[in-house]
Formats: sequence, structure tokens, C-alpha cells
Amino acid sequence: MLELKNVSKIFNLTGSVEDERIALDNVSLQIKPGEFVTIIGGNGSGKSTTLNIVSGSLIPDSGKVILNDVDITKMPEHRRAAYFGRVFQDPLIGTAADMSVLENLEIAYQRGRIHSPITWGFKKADKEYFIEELKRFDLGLENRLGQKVGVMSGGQRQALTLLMATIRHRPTIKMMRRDYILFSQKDKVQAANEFDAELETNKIILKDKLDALKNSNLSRKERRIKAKEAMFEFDQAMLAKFDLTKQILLLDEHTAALDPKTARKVLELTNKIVCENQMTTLMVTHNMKDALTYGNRLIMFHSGHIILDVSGKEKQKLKVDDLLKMFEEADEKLINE
Amino acid sequence: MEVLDIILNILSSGLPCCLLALGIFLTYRILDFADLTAEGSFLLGACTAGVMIFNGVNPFLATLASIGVGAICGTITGVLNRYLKIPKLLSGIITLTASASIALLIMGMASGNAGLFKSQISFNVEKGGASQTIYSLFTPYVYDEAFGIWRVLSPWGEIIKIAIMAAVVALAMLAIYFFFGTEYGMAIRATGMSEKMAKAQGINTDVATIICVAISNAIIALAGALYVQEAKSASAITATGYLVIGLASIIVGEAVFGKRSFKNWIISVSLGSILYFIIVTIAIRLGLPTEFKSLLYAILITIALCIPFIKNGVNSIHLARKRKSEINKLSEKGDTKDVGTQECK
Amino acid sequence: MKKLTVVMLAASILAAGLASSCEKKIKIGILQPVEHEALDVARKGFMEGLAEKGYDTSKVKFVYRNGGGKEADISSYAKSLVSRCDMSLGIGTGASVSLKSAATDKGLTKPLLFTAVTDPVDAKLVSSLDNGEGFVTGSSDMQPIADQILLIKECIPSVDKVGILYTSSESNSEAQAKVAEAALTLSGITTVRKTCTGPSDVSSTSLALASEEGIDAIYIPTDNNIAANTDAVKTAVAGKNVLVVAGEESMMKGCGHVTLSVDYKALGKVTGHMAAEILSKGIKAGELPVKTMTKEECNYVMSAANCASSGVTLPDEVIAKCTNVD
Repeated sequence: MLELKNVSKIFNLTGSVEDERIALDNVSLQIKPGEFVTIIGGNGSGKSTTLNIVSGSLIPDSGKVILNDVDITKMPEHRRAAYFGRVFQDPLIGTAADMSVLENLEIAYQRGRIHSPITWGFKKADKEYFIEELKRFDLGLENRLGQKVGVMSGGQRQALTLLMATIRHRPTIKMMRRDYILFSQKDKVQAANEFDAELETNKIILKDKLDALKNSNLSRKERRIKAKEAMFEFDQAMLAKFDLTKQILLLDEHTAALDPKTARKVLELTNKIVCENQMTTLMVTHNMKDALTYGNRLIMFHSGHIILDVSGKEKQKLKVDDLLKMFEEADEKLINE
Repeated sequence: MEVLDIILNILSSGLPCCLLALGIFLTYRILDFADLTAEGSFLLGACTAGVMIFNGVNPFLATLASIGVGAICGTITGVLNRYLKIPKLLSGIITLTASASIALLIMGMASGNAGLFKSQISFNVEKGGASQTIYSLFTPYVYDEAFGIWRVLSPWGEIIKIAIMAAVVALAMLAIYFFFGTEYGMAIRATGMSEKMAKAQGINTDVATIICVAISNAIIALAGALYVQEAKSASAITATGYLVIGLASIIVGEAVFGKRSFKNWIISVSLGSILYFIIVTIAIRLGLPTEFKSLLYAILITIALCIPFIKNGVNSIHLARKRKSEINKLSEKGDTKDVGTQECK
Repeated sequence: MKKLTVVMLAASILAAGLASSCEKKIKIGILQPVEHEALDVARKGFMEGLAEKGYDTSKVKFVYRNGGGKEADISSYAKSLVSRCDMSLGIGTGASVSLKSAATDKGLTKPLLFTAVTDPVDAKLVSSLDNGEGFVTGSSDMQPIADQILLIKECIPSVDKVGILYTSSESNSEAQAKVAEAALTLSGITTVRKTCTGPSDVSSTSLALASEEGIDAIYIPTDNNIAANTDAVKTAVAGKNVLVVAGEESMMKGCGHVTLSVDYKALGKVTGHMAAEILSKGIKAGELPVKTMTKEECNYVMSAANCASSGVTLPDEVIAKCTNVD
């Protein structure tokens, strides 16, 4: 669960008082796992700032950001990246222009892991996995793995960024153990013991399988394939039980710079991925219709405050006109103050 | 014989500059960081190797030491930029300025020097002498009766020297190619292209930048070490003019040999350095007054930068002509439907 | 595009190679590191010296290269000069060392002369000044510093404090400063050393030195950086009533009042004579000792204009033996 507690952010604190801009004013927010939240608001209302504070690009002036009961307010952005997938508004900065699709995906796959300076970056097994994932996008990208991203259109790059943000990075056993101890609600020693016990069990199963292979009559090549399968099953078994930190997806007006048709396509893709994987998502958008169509919770910001927070049936009942009316009322209130 | 001599001269000047160009390329193109530390690390690399060889140290150790010194220079620039938030250009300039004094200090460590600083060192490389360079360890000598000394067997001495330089350059290129294909190498490249994306993908961009700048300057210092072992002397002005040569090599190389893939790019940059020296040497040989050399550098770089535009322009003209001839052919036939005059409904 | 480039380059290399192998005259290469009056004068002196001994332009082709202060250029010119020419001359330490290094690398033993090098032993050109070495010899422009210091005492008999100004990165200047300091201390005069690092701080350093309390005179050894920025020194010392003795004539013209100067033209000529001897007798360059200028071979020179503008008066005996260079 993601929580913002009394978060405030003021820009231009060091300048004159008139230049000060209150981006967020004592905002508190709780996001439960699986919620698909759409965030709307006018310019300067604080929606992008919220996303930046959650992801770590900005440090709040006061307040806390808490993820699964761990205070991550001061954690640097790149350390938090393991838990958040981001798609930016500008399609050009989400991907590295001079690198190929394959290279970009390899980098995304390394998110949260230590980048080793002696391991070759391209792995054959990864390539097959990427092709599978890209096929689901239905954009033809799986045939253009070697192509430099810079020549592709904005929509294709945004789709690629989306995949890079949602790709299931393989945590290492060490990482899984660390995260499990950190984020499960249990006592540290108990969690550690539980993990180690399960690890042992799975290791024994793997060992048996590999021993069986050694004594079998299969050819070398087949044995290698079967061994890889066995290890894959081992990974899956551990993941199924201990992969707690499902990623949170942060989308910052990611279709704003695209033409309507492509924007539609990317949004539908987003919806598909989010729903299939039950991902916790924060989607900032300036399009009120989209905000209502997608997601199961809607938050409206205005001048650094949350003025509306509806979910489920209440959200479904709202119309664009209702939102506009609320927005105008909030504006008037501000002018009258 | 003249031709062989010209080629040997070009290669012996050009090969250390290949390393220089590669080093500058790592920061200028990969990280988009205009790093002015280059002349500083070249100078310090030359001085470190020079002083150690002057004092009779094994030349391989001396070369390794200069790589280390270059890495330190690069780390300082990187730390100034990333942790002290000093802008890139200024960080490079600060390290460059400081290196002038450090060079004098390092040269002051030449054996037999009375004071703290020394502004020029030179050493003699003789068969069996105290100072040996990585070239002289493999150079064949022949006894000269007339002068009573062992002198280098010409032209083999030079050919072996160039072979060793080429081997070092090739090793460096291989190392760069493999490093930037590793996980961390790709992370560094991503940092250079889009820092926001790199951070969002979990890469510590501060450390990545510093490491890349350190590697870049280590390679430039290696170029300095190769150079000083050829020139057998070092002074405060050893590095003057090399930054321009490095940048020009990169630009000329990219323009002429292209940058289709990373491997191709590294090779273009190195070849660009050799090509650059070829052009300049020939121009001087054919009689260009030496005062015009700087102008020649400037014109070369401008032409190299314009080649992509010229290529595009030529292509567009071709395409326009082709289209025009198509239209003409169609109008002859009487069929004008494809020519774009659609009727409005 | 690529093929065309390669073909063009190959053709030009061949053309360049062929073009230069058609000369029948003796080729003498001259390598100068930077444009500088003293060095230019030495070069011209060298060519005159050779002409005097019968080696004029009908017999000799001079190939002159100027490095423009850039080491990259100096070293690449050095390489081409030693292989193309029958004899080479290096003007200044940097150029001479580059020529020797290139010649050694190529295993060539053609005569190599140097001039205007203050400390040839430290530069490892020769192992002692008494003789040349192998194929290297030349002339040193070590100024008669002891005599220049005596000149200061002549101008200001009660001299108490003398400042020494030079550029820290020039080894020649440093060597001369050491000698000057020793000579001054021997005479019981206090010395103050101040160094600059480049063109930008010549002005501030000279001002600091001239404003030093109790300073009577400033000595400036031959220094390439200061020689190129004499105006800065002149402005700095204006109105301070400090005597400036510069290492050699052209520097003195720019900012000094009086000096006992190595005549660079004479230095060049002497080197030219040495070259002629090597060519005519066919001896090895190393057989000739390194030439240094004696006091008698130097000139007393003064600049009346500089004295007038800064309000410094020289004693009549000094004026009598000086030539006014204005």
C-alpha cells in the first residue's frame, strides 16, 4: 500500500514571497493495491508534483511517503525505481534514442538489480521473452528489435516505454529475501526463517531434478534445455510465494503528446496491461473523459489540495459536466478567498 | 622510401591521437559532456610516464601509472559536476587549470632535481640504458662504427614502434566495445542519452557519469603516455592543441566513415584521427605555409560537419528529379490521375 | 564516397613523396617553436652565417617550419624535417629536443644543431658543454647573468633589494633565475622571486613585484611568455622608479632600461659557421664543442625612450658604453 502523509511542496522558497508557488498543501492520500487511480486537475494543481514526489524526482518539504509501511521519502530516485514503473509525457525521454529496442528493454529488465560491469548485456533468453511481450502489443515492434528507437514514432516509443515500465523484472533470490523481510507484515526473524525454509525446499526439488537429468539418456543439448526449464520453474515457485512488491505504475499524462488515434491505442494498451496484471496505477491526465472511462478511482486536485476522491459506483455515476462544474466552483472559491 | 617515411610519420603522430579521440568521444558523444579536462589528463599522463621513465622505472608500470592518474583526473571532474553541482564545462576547466601546477609538481620528481617543481624533462633512450620505453624494449639496434654508439635499425625501429602503438589502440578499442556492451556499459550509455529515463530505470546516474568520465580521461592519459615515450620529453606545453585535434578527429571520422552501429562508431573515430593527420601532413608537404595550419583545421572541421547536409541535399535533388521525370512521363501518356489534382466532392 | 576518399589520399601521398625527392641542393631544416623576435633573429643569423662561409641559397635549400606554440605541430614537423633534410637546426629547447628524439627513433645520424637553448645538458641534448655528442652540437644562449647583475650594481651602487620576475613553466627562465639569485646573494643583495603562470598574470605579478617595499631593481631573464607580454610589464612598473634589467635586447626594448645582451644574430651566425664547418669538412657534429657567448661577444644596450617615460636615469658611465636601441 502506498501512502502520502501530510505532504507539502512549495516551489521557489528562496525567492520573494510573491514568487512562491504552493504545489501541494498538506496532502494525505492512501492507495490500496490493485487500485487504478486517475488524477485530474488544472495546471499547477499539483498532480504532476504528486507523481514526482512518489517516484523520487522531488523531495517534499514536509510530510512522508510510505510504501508498504516503509518510509521512502528520502530514498533516492534510482533506488526507488525497482518499485515504480514510469511513463513520461514526452515520448522522447522515456526511451534512449540511439539504442535499439532490444537494448532499451534489456536496461528496463535490469531495473532494481545491480548492473554488472563484466556480464554481457544481451542475453538470448531475454530476447525470446521480449518478443513474446511485444507480440501482445500488436504494433509490429517484435520485428524491429534491432532498430534504433530514435526512428520510431512517438506512439511506438510511448508503447515501448509502457512495456519497459511494466516488464516483470526478475528479482534475485537475495532481493526477494530482502524485500520479503522489509515489506511483509511479519516479524523480521520469522520472515527470514520462512523464506529460508521455502528456499531450501525448492532447492532440494531443483537438485533432484538436475540429478535425474544427469543420469538420464538425453543428449547434451536436450539436457541443457531441461535444466533451464527446471531452473525457470524454481524461479517461478519462489516468485509466486514471495514476490510482494508488485510494481506501481506511474503514468504522467503519457498520451498528451500523441495524436488522438495513437493516444486511444496507447490508452487501451495501458488498460489491458493494468487489468491483466492487477497493477496499482496512478494515471495523471488532463482529459476528463478518459479519467472517467478508465480506472476505478478518481482524484481531482486543485491548487495543491484534493477536492474530489471517488471510487467504484460513485465514480461510474459521474459525468464530464459534473467534473467541470466542480472545477469551476473550486476556482470561484479560490478567487473569493 | 619517401612515401614510406611519410606514412610512418603520419602513423606515429596519428596513433596516440586515436586514443585521444576515443577518450574524448566517450564523454562528448556518449555522455554529451563537453569535457575540457582532456588536455589536462593528456599532460599529466605524459608527465607521469615521462618522470617515471626518467627515473628508470619499468615502462609498463609507468604506462599503467599514467592510466591511473588519468582516471583520478576524470573522477575529480565528475565529482565536481555531480556532487558539487558545478556545470560540466566549468568542472572540466577547473581540473584542467589545476593540472598545470600538478604537472610541474610531478616533473619536479625527476631524479636529480633540486627543487619542488621542474618545467621540462627529457630523457635519452639507449640500448641498455636506465630509461627504456615500451617501444625500446622491442627495438632492434645496430652498432654504428662511425659514431661508436648503438643506434636504431631504420626503418624497423619505427615500424615496431608503430606496431606497438597500434596494438595498444586495438586493445583499447576492444576494451571499450566490450565494456559498453555489458550491463553497466549499457547503463552508462542510457545515462548519456536520457538521464530521466536512466534514473527511472534504477541507474545511479551520478556514479555512472563519474565512472565514464574517469574511463575517458584514463584513456586520454594513456595517449599521453604513448606520446611521451615517443617524444622522450615533456614540458608544460606538451598538451597544447590536442583538444582541437581530438574533436576534429571525431567529427571528420563520423562524417566520412559513418556511425551506423556502436562498433562502427568506435572504428570511425579512430580512423578519423589518422585521416585528419593524413590531410594535414599532405597539405603542409604540398607547400601550405605553416601559419595557415589553424585555418586548415577550421575549414576541415566545417566541411566535415557539412557533409551530412550535403549528402541530404544531393539526395533531395535526386528525389525531386526522379519525381519530376515520373510526372513528365505520366503527362505524356495523358494519364494525370496520379499527379495529385484531386477533385473536391 | 569512401572509395573516392581513399584513392584521392593515396594519390596525394604519392605526389607529396615524389615532389620532394627532386631537389639537388643541400637541404637544411629549421624548426622554430614559436614566433618570437629573438628566435627569428637567431634564425636569420644562422642563414647569414652559412652564407658567409659560402653556403648561400644557391647551394642550400632551407626548409623552415614554425610550430606556433603547439607541441603537436612541433613534434610532427620534427619528424618530417629529420628524414627529409641533410642537416637540421632546432631553435629553442623544445624544438631541439623534438628533433633529437625524432632522429633517434628513426636511427638517423644526420648532423643536428641547436641554438638558443639555455641549458643543453639539462635538456639531455649533450652530456657536457665541452663537447658535442654523437651527431648533436650547437650554441647556448645562456646570458652572461653574472655580468648583468654587475650592471645593476653599476647603475645603482647602493642597491639593496632586487626582484626576479619569470614564468614558472619555462625551465630556461628558472635556470637563469637560479644563477641570478646566486650572483645577487653573493653580492649581499636581498632577492625577491615572483613567478607568473601565463599571459594573464604577467601584469599583476609585475605590479606586485614593483610595489614590493624597498625594491630597487627588477631582473627579468629571457622568458618566452614575458617577452610576448612586455607591454604589461611596462605599464605595471610605470612611475615606480624601479630599474628593469631584462635578459636580452628585444625584451629590454619592450619593457626594460638597460642590459648586457646576447646578440641573437651573432649567436645564430656562430651556429651557421659551425654548420658550414660540418658540411665542408665532413666531420661529425659531435666533434665541435657547444658554443656559449662570452662577455665580449655581448652588447651593452639601453632604451632611452623607456628610461625617459618611466623617469629612470642611468649613470653617465653606463650610458657611455651602451648603444641606444631606440
